[in-house]
Amino acid sequence: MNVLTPLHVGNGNELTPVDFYPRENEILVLDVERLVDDLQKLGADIEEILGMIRNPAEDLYVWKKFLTEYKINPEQYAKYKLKVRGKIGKMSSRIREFIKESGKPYIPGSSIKGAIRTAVMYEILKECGDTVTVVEALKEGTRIAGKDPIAIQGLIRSIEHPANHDILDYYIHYINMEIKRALQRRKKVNLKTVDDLLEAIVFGFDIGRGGIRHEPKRDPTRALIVRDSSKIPLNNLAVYEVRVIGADVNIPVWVEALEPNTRFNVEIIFDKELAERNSDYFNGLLWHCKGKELEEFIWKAVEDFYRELAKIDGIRGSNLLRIGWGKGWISNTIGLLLKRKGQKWEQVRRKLGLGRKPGGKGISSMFPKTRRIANGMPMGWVEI
Amino acid sequence: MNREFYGKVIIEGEIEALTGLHIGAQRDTSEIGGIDNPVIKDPHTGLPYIPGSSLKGRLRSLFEIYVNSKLDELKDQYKGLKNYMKGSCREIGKENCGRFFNRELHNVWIHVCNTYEEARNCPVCRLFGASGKESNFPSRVIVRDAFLTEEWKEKWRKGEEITEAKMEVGIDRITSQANPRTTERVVAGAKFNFEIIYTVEDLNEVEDDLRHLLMSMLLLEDSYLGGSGSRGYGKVKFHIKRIAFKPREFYETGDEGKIKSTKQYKSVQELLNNINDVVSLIKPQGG
Repeated sequence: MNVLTPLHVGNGNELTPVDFYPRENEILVLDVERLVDDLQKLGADIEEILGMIRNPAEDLYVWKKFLTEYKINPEQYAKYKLKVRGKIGKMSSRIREFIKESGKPYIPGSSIKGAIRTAVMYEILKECGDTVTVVEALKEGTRIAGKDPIAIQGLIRSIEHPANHDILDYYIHYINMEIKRALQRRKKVNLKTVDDLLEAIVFGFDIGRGGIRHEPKRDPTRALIVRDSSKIPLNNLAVYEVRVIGADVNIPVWVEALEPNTRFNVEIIFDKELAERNSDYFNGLLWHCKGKELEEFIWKAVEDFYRELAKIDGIRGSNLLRIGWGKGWISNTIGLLLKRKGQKWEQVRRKLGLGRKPGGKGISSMFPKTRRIANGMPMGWVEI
Repeated sequence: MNREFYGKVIIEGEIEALTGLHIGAQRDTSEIGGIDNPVIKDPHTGLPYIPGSSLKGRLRSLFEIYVNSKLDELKDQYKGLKNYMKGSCREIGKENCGRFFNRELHNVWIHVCNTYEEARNCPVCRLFGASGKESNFPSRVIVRDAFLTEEWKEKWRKGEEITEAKMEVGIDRITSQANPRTTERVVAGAKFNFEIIYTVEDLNEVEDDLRHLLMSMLLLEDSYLGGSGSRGYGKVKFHIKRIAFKPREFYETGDEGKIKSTKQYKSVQELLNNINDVVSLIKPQGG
């Protein structure tokens, strides 16, 4: 894969001013443990060091005083250096760390596979999302799961409602019902689980007491094995200032990101044997509709979905994919399809609170209104 | 039933995790802020290891799929297979429905021959064993638990991390909300000592069995070990250090001079290419 625009995959940690030493256009990420050890050996007072770490002085140079006093070259304690793209902020700066293994960045298979699955969900809903096909897939899937069809008759009836042209018409109605139910219980809809039923219908399901739920063992994308990437040399990493464009308040975020033109290897295997062996076990719309040509379909979906997204971002190239952090709602979801539902979706979107203005209670009339820009570029585009 | 013993072939080496490896353990206490999915660890040392059952199970599973795929061709060669059709009894739900994957084991369907004779004439069961309904066939392959190599234990003693908590996020494909979870995994690069022992019970079947064993190992290298393999985890590679044949005479006398080894082969592929070198240790002059 070749990185086209800054790419950040986080590991959940943040580097704080204690962890690094800024210089002109670059920062040194320090081996703090070794530095503190050596400072103590040179006679520095540990209490003073700790005080400094707890309450950093005016500027970013937490270590400046000690380094000058004991004539230490910070270079000696640098684990690695990062070029700075954009402006590094004042003492509150925190830098989101890139995921690494044994100190070297890599791209997790899960990030790539997640991006592929988003495209697959988008494309299958586009191609096979009509009510008739979905209902067929549900009936067939129930038979495969060895369950009594009565268990899902309610769901099928709702989907077959004449007002629904496709599954998304039903789904928007379903989200509305969920919101109503939540309101009755004086709770908010859990935004982390809104897609659960749709994921189950598309990728494969089992039926339990609570209805249909996604069952990874019945999900044919099990056959798609995406390895973690090769380790990437540290000199491909830089600190990017990421700005949120379109927001009223503009607080930038700093991230460690791979620079454009970074290349790395990824191994992707489609396990035909596994797909074949489980052919009487997988269910869901994807398997029902595209089971026989699953592998080709996956790549077609990726091509189709990301071509459309690339148009929006003005990215050129073939075999595109968008991965990592900062992609925005459109790239992370099936938003392109939902937006086509016009007013129906718009109402649900407002009720879900998507596009809520920070601080206030108002909801933006345009959604998605904000985009993240790293040094002038959209984030996360790669070329396969 | 007629069992004989000619000796043991011992394959030793290292198994390297090329990507992070997660073989899960049950979490018995839920600590606050603890990891959602811990890896299995040796209770004595607290260090992660690869259970022989995980490794053997995976080798068997991959080989079963291979045999099922070529069932019609293999029926001529192995009469234990002649009553099986391709596929799984899962759909029908009855064990022994005549399909290849005929036995339910914790919601998974595997292949098991029901009688000793059938198992002996089946490439899967005679290698990996069968606990049949009517009689058992003991496995010819033993896969030991694989513990960290000295080099990696030393790294651990020096304070290097052997496992990492990998953060992953599930993203809701409607709202784009992130749903974080952490999984513990053994770091990429970690190496474990493995030992696989094959018991020679029939000189005519040695080559065939060893070939199948090595083939399963090769299949594993292009598949994955442990959990979450379809999203990056568990790519492994075998580094072969030693392959030796301990004949019956060694066990009778304890004389190490009786043990025979081949020259060094680094990879499974190289060993498979030179399988005759191994076979000739066991059956000199084609005997």
